[in-house]
Formats: sequence, C-alpha cells, structure tokens
Amino acid sequence: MALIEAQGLTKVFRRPDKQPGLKGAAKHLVQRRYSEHVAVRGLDLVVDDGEAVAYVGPNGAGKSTTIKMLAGILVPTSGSLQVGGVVPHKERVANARQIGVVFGQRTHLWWDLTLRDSLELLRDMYGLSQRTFEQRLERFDSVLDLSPLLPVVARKLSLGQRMRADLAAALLHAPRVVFLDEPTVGLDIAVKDKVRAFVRQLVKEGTTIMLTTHDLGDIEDICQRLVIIDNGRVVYDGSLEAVKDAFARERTIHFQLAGVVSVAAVRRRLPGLAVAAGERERELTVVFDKTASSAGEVLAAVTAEAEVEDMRISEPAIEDVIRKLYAGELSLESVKAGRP
Amino acid sequence: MKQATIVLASAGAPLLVGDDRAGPRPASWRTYAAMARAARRSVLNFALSFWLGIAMSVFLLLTTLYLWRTILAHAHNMGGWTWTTMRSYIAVTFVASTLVSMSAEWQMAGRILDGSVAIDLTRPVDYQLARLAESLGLGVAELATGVAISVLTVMAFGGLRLPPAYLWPAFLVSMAAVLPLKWTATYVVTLLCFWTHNYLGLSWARQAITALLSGAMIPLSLLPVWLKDPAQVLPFQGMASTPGLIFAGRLHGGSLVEGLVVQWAWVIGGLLLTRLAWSRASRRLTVHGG
Repeated sequence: MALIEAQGLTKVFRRPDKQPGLKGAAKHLVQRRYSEHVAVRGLDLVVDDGEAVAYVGPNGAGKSTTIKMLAGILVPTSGSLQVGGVVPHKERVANARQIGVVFGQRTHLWWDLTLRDSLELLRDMYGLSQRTFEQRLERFDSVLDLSPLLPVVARKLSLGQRMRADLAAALLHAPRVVFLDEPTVGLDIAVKDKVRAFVRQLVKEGTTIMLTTHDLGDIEDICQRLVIIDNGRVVYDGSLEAVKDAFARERTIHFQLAGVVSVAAVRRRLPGLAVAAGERERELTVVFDKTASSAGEVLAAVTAEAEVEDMRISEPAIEDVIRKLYAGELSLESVKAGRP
Repeated sequence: MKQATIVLASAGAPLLVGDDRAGPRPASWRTYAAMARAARRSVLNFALSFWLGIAMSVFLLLTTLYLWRTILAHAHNMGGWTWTTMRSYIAVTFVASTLVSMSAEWQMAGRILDGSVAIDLTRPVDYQLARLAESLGLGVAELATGVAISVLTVMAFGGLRLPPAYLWPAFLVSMAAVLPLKWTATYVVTLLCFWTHNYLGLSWARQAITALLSGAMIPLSLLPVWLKDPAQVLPFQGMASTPGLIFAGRLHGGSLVEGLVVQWAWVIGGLLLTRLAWSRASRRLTVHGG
C-alpha cells in the first residue's frame, strides 16, 4: 500500500537578484528582479507502508526541500502529494499527527525547558495517555539512554545527547512515517550506533522511514531502497544491492609473500587482470571483477609463483560508489532499476 | 554496531508500545494550556534576557516618575493631571508595558529568522494559537513581576490611590484586552520577517509607534489634536492608555464604554486579521538548508 505518493512534485524558490553594494540595493528597491531557483522538479515518488528509503543526493539536490514538502512545512509550487491520504500543506495539523520529523541540524526540544518538560509537553500536544507516555519513555530509554538527560535544560545538552533526545521527541507519538534529515551529522561513532540501532528497530516494527543523509553507513545499516536525486529530480530508484552489484564488483587482493616474485610471471598466469607490485617489497596486489574471476583462481595463480604468507581481500565501499555517481563518473542507465 | 544490536536483543520488547498509535487525539484547549504552562516555566530557566528586560524597564519607570513629578510640581494645570492621578496612570501603563516583553517578541521573530519555524510547523497545533498560548503563559510571569515592581516603586514615590470599587470591573475588562492587543501587533510585525529577513528595524518602528500612540510615554490627552484624534480609534490606546485612564479615574460614562468597545473590537478584529496575515506569510516560507 502506498503511504507516500508524489507526482510531478515541483518547488520553485524565487530569489531577489541584488547587485552588490548600496547601489545594487537601491536599484533593487526601484526595479525588482528575481531569479527562479528550481529546488525540486517534477519528482515522482511512491513509498509503501513499512519501507525504509534512503533519500540521497549531493548538497543542494533538493532533498531537504522534498522532506519539508512531505512534512507540510513548504507549499509545493506544482504537482500532487499525499502522505497517508492527507495532503500535507492543506491539512498540516492532521499530517503532523501521523509523521515524525528529525532534523539533524535543528532541535525539537524547547531550549529553555528540561528534557522531561519538553517530552511532557509533547505528550500533551499529541494527547497521549500518561501510561503510554511512561511505557514509551522507558523503552526509548533502554536504547537511547535518556535517563541522565531528563533533568537537563535542552540548551545545555551536547550534540550527541541532543540527537538522542530529539529522536525520542520525534517518536513519542509513534508516527506512521518518520522523516530523518541528516540525523547523524556531526555525531561520534558510539552515538551514531545508538541512533542507527533505534531507527533499525523502528523499521522492524513497521514504521516507514525516509532518511536523508550523507553518511552512507546510515544507508547500509537501515535502508533497503535507495533513491538518488540530483538537481531536483530522481536519477536512481532501486535497491542498494543493485547499485552494489553494478558498481561494486571490483575486488582487490593484497598478498604478503615469502619471497620476491616476478610481477610479469603472475600477470602471464592471470591474463586481463590488473597485477601490480605492492607498496613494499614482497607485496603484490591483484584487482579482479568478482563476476568474471574468483578469489580462488587468483590465489592459485599467485601460489604457483611464490609462497603466500598472508592475504587480505578488500571491496569498494558503497561510499565510493555513490561518490562516483554524484560526480557523474558512473552511468546509472546500466543499472536495472528494480525496486526491492 | 554489534554492541547496539546486543542491547536491543536483550531488551526484546518493541519500542512503540502503547495504544495510541492509530491516531492521537486532536489538539484541544488542554494542549494550548500545556504550551502556556511550559512557556511560563521556561522563565525559570530563562536566558538572562527576561530579567534584563525587566531591569531595563525599572529604569524607564524611575525616569518617567521623576520626570512627571518635576513637571507637575511646576505646571499646575496640565490638562487636568495631578501628581496623584499621574502616579496611578504610570503604575498601570508600566504593568501594561511589561506584557508581551522584548524577549517574547524576539523569540517569535527569531524562530522565523533562523528557520526554527519549520519545527513549529511540524507540531500538531495551530501556529497562531500556539504562539498566543506561549505569550499568555509568559504573560502570567510578566504580569506578576510587573505588578510587584510597579506597586513597590509607585508606593516609594508617594503612594498609590486606588480607584473607587465601581470602576474595578471596567478596569479589569480593559486590562484583559492589553495582552491580546499587544500580542496581535507584535505577532503581525514578527510575521513581516518572512519578507524582510531582519527584525531590528521592524522592532524599533513598532516600539516607537506603540510608545507614542498607546499613551505609554505621554497621556494621549496631552498630544496635539491631529495626533490625539486618530489615536482614539487606533488599537494602540487600548495597550496602555485606556486601562491607565480608568485606573486614574479619568474615564467615565460614555467615554469609558467607548474606550472598552474600541479595545475589544480591536482584540477580535486583530485576531481575525492575524489569521489572514499568517496564511499570507506561511506561503512565503522558504527554509533553506538543514
């Protein structure tokens, strides 16, 4: 069942064209000129109930703008949009009750209130019963370790503490769909792990997740589906696996050998593969496509030439793949964009 | 990662327990009452700005009292004002001036300027009512400190003559209109931040106009006719002058009723106007970046 449906969703911002300096400002007062900036152009997107979608793209691609339209914060310029049967910008309050939003760079907490006061205010806003409130708080506490933070005024929380608190604040009303806009930005590994574990658990319990991030660890950890947007439009929509299979087939084996070996000899045994001497003496690296050759074949070829003391296989990180996609070095047309 | 998974596995039970998943109740007056309480409570943990604002206003109060004491000691017929009635007038207009303080104003404007308004819009409450509730909650704290400071200071300047009992209901009705009126004016001006992206100039302009036309600086009866007459129908006089005059015993009969009608007509008209202003302003919303 489709929970989120966007068709031809477009958002155009109008920016004043001001020339620099006092003269430019004065000129702008008399003769107003604007340039249009298309943040999202004709976006089509369907997200089913219970899906965990990574929504990624380079800075300025239109990710946050999309999320803000889905959350009912921004009014789309054109196109249609519905979330759980509600048009967000028309029924903002009804939409707000079914969604949860986490902005990594903004807080949901009241700056001058303690975390407990903030959470109790949210309890009253969403009309939760005291029993439900306490049960959820206790459960959130077990993953996010909130207890020590409850008596602290929000403005005194560190970034990591604030993020944990913000997650609890956004999820207290058990929303059907949660938009996470860069939830792990600036966090250390330990807190990142907590955040990811929490979100994974939400997905497991059937919450629909739409995650915007630059941290590809978040994606691998949480999402099955990957939507890449660039310049305001979807450039890829499919499984994370498909991207990996298409672009992350390359494997590199690093050998530590007992004696000096002739690179040329190994190369003769492995035609077509990239064989190179390592950084140090008695080291050798072989790069191969995992669909064309196997690690066993490579190992056999090298063993025939020299005694192998140690070896290690590395695969390209999904980070590199997506970085290349952003940079336009890889063509997405070669990927069968099959939805998971 | 593994560690976290183990924690979860041992915890077992689902995170989203409870029975309110399907659809929490819509916002009721209780929600707004909770927001008002939270805003009041926040004063305790408040940024210094709240108390600094109060301290600043005490200096202004002292200046005003010294000034009028000196003026009225020498000019004996200042449009019927005596030092005693002026003290009553100043006591009330001071309390009125502490309502919807600078810190409340800057909080509203600041959230629009820094984009936190995006967060406010993700909450299941009406934006305008939520801001009003917060200002009312803060108003309780402002009123308490304002009355305490005003009474103590004016007492030190020679006592406060209370109005006769029959004027009290009218005074309280008039005083109750002060906060909504000031809030409406402030709220509309903060919404202009959607266009201007700057608040300092707007705030100064609002304060200057309010101070002059509300009678907080000088009683309106002492202003020139061309300024005095329009001021009688504008909303500003209801923010200080009307309750001040009633308390000082200078508004009776028909003009008292007229004063109250103008005040409350503007309260209702203003609140409707702000709904229109918000629907216009929210379309201007452009929150860039995170």
